[in-house]
Amino acid sequence: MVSEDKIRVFLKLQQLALDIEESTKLLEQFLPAVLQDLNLAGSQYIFLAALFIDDSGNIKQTFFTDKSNNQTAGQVTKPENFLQKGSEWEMKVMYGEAAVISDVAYFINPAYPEISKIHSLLMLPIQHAQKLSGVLILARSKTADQISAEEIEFGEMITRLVNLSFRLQDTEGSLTKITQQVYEMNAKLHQLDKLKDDFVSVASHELRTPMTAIRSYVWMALHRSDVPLSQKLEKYLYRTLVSTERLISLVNDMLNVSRIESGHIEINPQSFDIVALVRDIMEEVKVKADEKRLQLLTLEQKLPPVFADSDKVHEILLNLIGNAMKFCYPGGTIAVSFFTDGQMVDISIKDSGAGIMKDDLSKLFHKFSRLDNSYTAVSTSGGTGLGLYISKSLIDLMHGKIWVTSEGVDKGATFSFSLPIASQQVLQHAEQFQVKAKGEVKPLEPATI
Amino acid sequence: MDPYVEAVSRIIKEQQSIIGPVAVDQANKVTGLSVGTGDDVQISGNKKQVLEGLVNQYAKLFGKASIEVCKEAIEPVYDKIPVGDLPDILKN
Repeated sequence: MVSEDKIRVFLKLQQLALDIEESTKLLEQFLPAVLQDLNLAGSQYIFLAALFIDDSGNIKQTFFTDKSNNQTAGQVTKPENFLQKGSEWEMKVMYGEAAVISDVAYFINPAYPEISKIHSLLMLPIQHAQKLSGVLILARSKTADQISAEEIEFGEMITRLVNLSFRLQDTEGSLTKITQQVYEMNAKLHQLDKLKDDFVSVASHELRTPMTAIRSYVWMALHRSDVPLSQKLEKYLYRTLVSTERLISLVNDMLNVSRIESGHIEINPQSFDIVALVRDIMEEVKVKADEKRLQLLTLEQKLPPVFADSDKVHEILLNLIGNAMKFCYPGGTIAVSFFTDGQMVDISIKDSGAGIMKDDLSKLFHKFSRLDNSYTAVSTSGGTGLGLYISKSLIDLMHGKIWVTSEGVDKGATFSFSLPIASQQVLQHAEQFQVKAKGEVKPLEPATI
Repeated sequence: MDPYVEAVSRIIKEQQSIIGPVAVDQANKVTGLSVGTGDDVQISGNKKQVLEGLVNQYAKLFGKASIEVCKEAIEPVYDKIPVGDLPDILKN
């Protein structure tokens, strides 16, 4: 039976094992405390060593501590002798029993300065999952016959604690290794992502320059030609012009996506009148709308100012109104309306155009989300599949939301987005609405309609 | 901006892009360093030690790769901090 004093020591050590923060060095910190507390509790141990073995019985890890605490198990002991196959002590520990050894010289290096004080060794099996996973060795100043059942029982209790600490350290070590491997992979992915962004940015710039030249020359060939053009040639040139413009739009959108994703876009929020901005944009697109015989309506109402980056909101509105114009049939209507709940202002752009199938609604704000059957079918729209993704990204940066509703194909669609009102509370935390660019600030390429 | 504050901000931002919000949690564990919800970074005490503490905090959890990430992050600030005032761990 273990005395109350020793149980107290055991509980103290158990708490210590749980309290050590740096679990990867748990035993290095824990074992000296074990030796110290055992000696304070009346034992007279010279050193404590722990040898852990792998499944094949080979020594995996060793720990050693004595009062000087500056030597290793390999320097002081002959670890392989403790686990000598077929020996009397090896058989004992193999069956889970403690072994008390008198032949100290066989196990300890004669150069160890404290060897003369050691008169016996208590060797205790460390078991894990009912298998021998190591041994704990206590170098005793007492002889082998001066050992009590209590000392062995207490030693076994301590052994269980050492085993638990080792498992904890081993698990923590594995977790640290895995964490570091995941970090390395993440860092590499991050690096690749940066390279991809750089590539998109450089490639887009390089593509845009010759395309702009092609567009200009094709336009000149169409409109300022010295020679009369045949009907066929005019048709081909017109197709070339439209395709080049579409490519330039795609390159611009790719540049914008790259700038947003790499954090080169800044959001500088300010209070402004959203209704006035919508009114300006409706004026901007009026000529194009007239060409397609579209009716533009702004359902104006008195609203509090919103707190957002007006340049970015301008791009978003141009994109959404431009989309509505693309998908509206000639003679159709586009109406912009507003709603406020006192905290946010919702701006809705409703068109009477091609509509969207229900299943496709959720796909619209993804990158390159061109749908085959409805709204963004590229063949008819000439869209890049990036405009809505860009709008959503910008709205997210401005603490707003974007959503879409449609009754189905040919029943029109309503795109809405919300922006925060420039309330006292919002203005007090204005810095939270500002987004600073990582490195160089780059502007958005203008949206085309 | 103080070059040490800039270096610390750059490191935290770069680590954030790899490990997410944990980067700020870990930075706040460094003695003498306080990182707010925004980008506000405050250093008190020895700035060189705080910078070194931050790099070590990440290295303790994420290993050598995280030190390289820190070195890359502060490249634009190298010229602003005299070589002698830069922690050894960040020297190339």
